[in-house]
Amino acid sequence: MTRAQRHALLQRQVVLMVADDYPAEVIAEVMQIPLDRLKAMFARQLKYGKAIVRAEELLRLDAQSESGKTAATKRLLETAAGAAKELGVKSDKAKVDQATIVATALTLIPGGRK
Amino acid sequence: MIVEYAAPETYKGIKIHGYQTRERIEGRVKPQIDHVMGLTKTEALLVYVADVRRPPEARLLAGAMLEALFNLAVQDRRERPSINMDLVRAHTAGLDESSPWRSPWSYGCIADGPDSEGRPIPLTHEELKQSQMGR
Repeated sequence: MTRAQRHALLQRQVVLMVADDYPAEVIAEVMQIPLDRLKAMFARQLKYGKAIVRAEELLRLDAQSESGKTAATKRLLETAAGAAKELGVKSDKAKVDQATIVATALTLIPGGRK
Repeated sequence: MIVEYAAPETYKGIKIHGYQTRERIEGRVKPQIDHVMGLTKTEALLVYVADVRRPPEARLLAGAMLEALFNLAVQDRRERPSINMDLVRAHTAGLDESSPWRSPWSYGCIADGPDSEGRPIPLTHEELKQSQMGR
């Protein structure tokens, strides 16, 4: 493994632990490096780890939704509704379900959106 | 009488069938598609899919929404809605514009019968052939 590969692996490890709500002190302990060194080397991962993992998940769901997987479409729409709620945007669960039904239906119609 | 047909298009992800005037598409087909997209009750969708007076694009959407409701319930392992899917598929069979069952005299399928919405000018044999080839 090259030095760059090892560093990328460590970055990935930090991102995943941040996404799982590990405090920085615990991450430092797990990785067996001093806390201040962790903060210096992995500042971006500590700050944006959750968002990085979330973005990857959305990309994966989007790809699956595009290939016709209805469960992925539903998850994607629910995720959007959840995000809207966190931002304080009013979200109507009935409308989310209706959106899922329509989106799924469009993949079933001849010549419809796939 | 010469009829000017609108160019092919899709509306909210749904293919609008060919050989229709702009007036019909804007005044009838699109509003009915919007109406179906807003239907939330299974019973309303079932009534709509069987109504031969409605535009075939909207009836196809209603049928697909019923299919989606059924499939999503299966996927989520919930109780399936009491929909006779064979009957739904029977009502929508032949409604696609490329179907050999497309009616030259109305905006639906030959099997829809005389109550379906009639065309002001029937499609010619050539026009039917072209729509079956996906013009």
